Amino acid sequence: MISRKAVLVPALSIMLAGMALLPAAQASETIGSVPTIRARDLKGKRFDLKETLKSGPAIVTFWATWCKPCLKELPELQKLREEFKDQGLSIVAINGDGPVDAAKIKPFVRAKKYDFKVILDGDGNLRRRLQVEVFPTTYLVDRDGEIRHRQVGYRQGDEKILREAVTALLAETTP
Amino acid sequence: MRKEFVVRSSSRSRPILAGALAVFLCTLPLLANASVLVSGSARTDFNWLRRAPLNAFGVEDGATNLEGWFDFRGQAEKWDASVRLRIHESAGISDDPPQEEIDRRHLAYRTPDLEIVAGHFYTTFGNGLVLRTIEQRFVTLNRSDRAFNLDRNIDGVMVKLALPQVEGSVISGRPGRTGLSESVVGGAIESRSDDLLQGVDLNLTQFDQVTAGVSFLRAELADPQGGSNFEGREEQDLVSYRLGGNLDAVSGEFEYAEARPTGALRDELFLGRGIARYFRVESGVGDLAVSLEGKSYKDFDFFPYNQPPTLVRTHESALLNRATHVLLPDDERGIQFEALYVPEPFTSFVFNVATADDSEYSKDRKFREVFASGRTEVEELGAGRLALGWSRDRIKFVENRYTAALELEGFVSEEDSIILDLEVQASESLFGDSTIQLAQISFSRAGLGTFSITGEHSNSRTLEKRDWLFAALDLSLSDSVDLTLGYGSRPAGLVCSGGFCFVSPEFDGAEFRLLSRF
Repeated sequence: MISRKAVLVPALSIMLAGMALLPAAQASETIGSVPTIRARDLKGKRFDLKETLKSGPAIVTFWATWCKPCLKELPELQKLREEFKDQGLSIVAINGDGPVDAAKIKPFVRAKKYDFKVILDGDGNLRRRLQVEVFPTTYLVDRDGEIRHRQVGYRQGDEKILREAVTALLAETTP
Repeated sequence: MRKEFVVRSSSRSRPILAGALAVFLCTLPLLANASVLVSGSARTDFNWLRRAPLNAFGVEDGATNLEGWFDFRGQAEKWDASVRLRIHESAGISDDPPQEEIDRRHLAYRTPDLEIVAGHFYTTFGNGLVLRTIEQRFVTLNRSDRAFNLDRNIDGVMVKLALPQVEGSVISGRPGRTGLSESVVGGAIESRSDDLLQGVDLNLTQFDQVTAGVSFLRAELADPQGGSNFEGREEQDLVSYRLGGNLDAVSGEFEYAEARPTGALRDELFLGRGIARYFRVESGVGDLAVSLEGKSYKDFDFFPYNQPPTLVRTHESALLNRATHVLLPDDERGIQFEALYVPEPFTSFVFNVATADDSEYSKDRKFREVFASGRTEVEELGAGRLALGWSRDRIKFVENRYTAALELEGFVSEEDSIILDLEVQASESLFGDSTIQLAQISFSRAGLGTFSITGEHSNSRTLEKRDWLFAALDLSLSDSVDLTLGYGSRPAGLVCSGGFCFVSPEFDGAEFRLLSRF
C-alpha cells in the first residue's frame, strides 16, 4: 500500500517545480533576490556584494580548485570580465575549498591572472544562503540585487548563454 | 541524560508542521510584495537499491528510499531565518532515523560589523585544527578511501564581530545530529549531540599584511569513549595560535595547536597532550605559482569536531581522488608542494608532491604521491587533459599505484560537446596486483543538460563487485528546476557528470532527483 508520505513528498516537490516552470514564472525578469553576501577576499579584506553592485551588475560563481567544470568555466568568466568591465560588470568567484585545499587558491588565481574578486567561503555559509548544491553554480545579479540568470554546472557553450544574459541586462540600463 | 535539540515530529507535532508549511506556502505571494525576501528549495530524492551497498548493514536488496528536503528562507532588513523540513520514507532499511523532522533552523541578525546566529550554524576557527564544521549531505563508503565526511554543524549561538582590523567570534552549542539517513552507513554515525562546545576565535590584521589569531575551544564530552563503560563528563581544551603575512610576492601562515585532555581522560585513559603544527607558504612569479605546506600532528586524533588539513591533493580525476590518503593525526608529519604553470589562459600544467610519515618510524614512509597534469584547449575544436600519478600507501599495504587519466573534449557545435574520459590505475599491494579501468562518455548541450555513461572494471580478487555501469541524465528544466535520472551501479567516490561534481556513496539501482528553487 502506498503511504501518504510517498505521495506527499513528490507531490509537494513537483508542485514547487511546476510553479517555477509556469509561463508566468518563466516570463518574469527575475528569479529571486540575492541575500546579503559579506565575506573576506584573498587578501583578507572585507567584501560586501552590495557595494560591488553599486558599480554595475555582477556574475557570482561558486567554485573549487578540484572541480573540473569550474576550471573550464573560470577562463570564460575572465573573458566576459574583460569584454564588459567598462560597462561595470564585476565577477565574484566564491571559493568553497575550505582549509584542506586553501593553500592552492592564491597560487591558482595568481598563475591564471584572474583579476576578478575571489571570496573565501570555507564554512559554506554563503553557499547555503544561495542554495548552491553543486559546483559550479553561477548567478547573474543586477544592480538591485535581483538574480537575472542562474546556471547550474558548466557545459561548453553555457558561456554564450551567460553572455547573452549579460548583454540583455546591460542593454536595459544603457541609455 | 540525553537531550534532543532537533524537533522530531510526533503525532502531536505533525499537524503543527503541516500547518506551518501550509501557512508559509499560502503567505508566499503576500510576502513577495513586502520588503521580505523569501526563497527556498525543494528536493526530492528517490532511490531504489537493486543491490544493497556492501558495507551498509541493515539494508536489504530491493530497498527503497524516498527523501524530501524542503528549505525555506526569509530575509528582512538585518534579519534572516531558515527552516529545513526533512521527510523520509523507506522500505527494506532497518534502524531508520525519524521520518519527519526539522533538522535545520536558524535565526540571524546581521549588520556589516555584527552577526548573531541562533540555531544551527557552521564555522571554522583558523585552519580547522581547533574547530571545523562542514555540511555534507552525502557519505562516502566502502571502496572510497576518503574518510567519512559526515555533516557536522553546531546547534547553539554564535556571535561574530567583524571590524576592519579585528574579527572575532564566540560560540556555544551542541553538535547537531547529522541530516543523513543513519541506515546509509549501517549505523556507523556516532552521535555527539550530548557534548557541549564553547569557543572563542580572534583574528587581528595589521597594515593589511600581517595577521595574528588565537582560538580556544572547550568540549565537554558526555561519553568520551562513545558507548563504553567509561562514565562521567570530561573536558578537552583545544587552543591554537596563528601568525601570517600577506605580501604581493609571497604570503603564508603558521598555526600551532594543542589538545589538552583533563580529569579521567588524562588519568584513566592516559591521553596525553596533543600537538599540531601547520604552515603554508604561497608565492608566484609570472606564469608560475607555487605553494608549500607542512604538517606535524602528534596525539591529535581524538577530537571529533576539528579537521586538520590533510595536505594531500583533492584530485579532479575519479580514480586518483578515490585512492587518496586518510589523515592519521595521532602521529603524522609531512609536506605538500604544488607548482602551477599557466603559459596561456587555456593551457596549464600542475605538479604536486605529497608525503606523510610517522614521527617515530619515519623510515616506514607511510604515504607518498607524485602527480602531474596538463590541459590545453584549441579554440572551437576541443580540449585535452592528461594526468599521471604515482603513489605509495603503506597504511593500506600498497607499494606502488600508477594512475593515468586522459580527457578529450570535442566541441561538436557552439552548443554541443562530447567528453571522453579514460582512466586506468594499476596497484601493487600485499594482497596482489590489480588494475581498474574507467571510461566515461558524456554528451552535453549548453543550457539543457548532459547524458553520460560510466563504466568501470577491476580485476582485483579482493573486491566483491568488479564491474560497474551507470547511465545518468541531468537536465536543467529551467533556471530554477533540475532533474536527474540515473540507473545502474557506481562505486563510492567523487562523481563528475553533467557539468558538475559531487561525492556519492556506493550505489546500485535507480535514482530520481528533482530540485526546484523558488
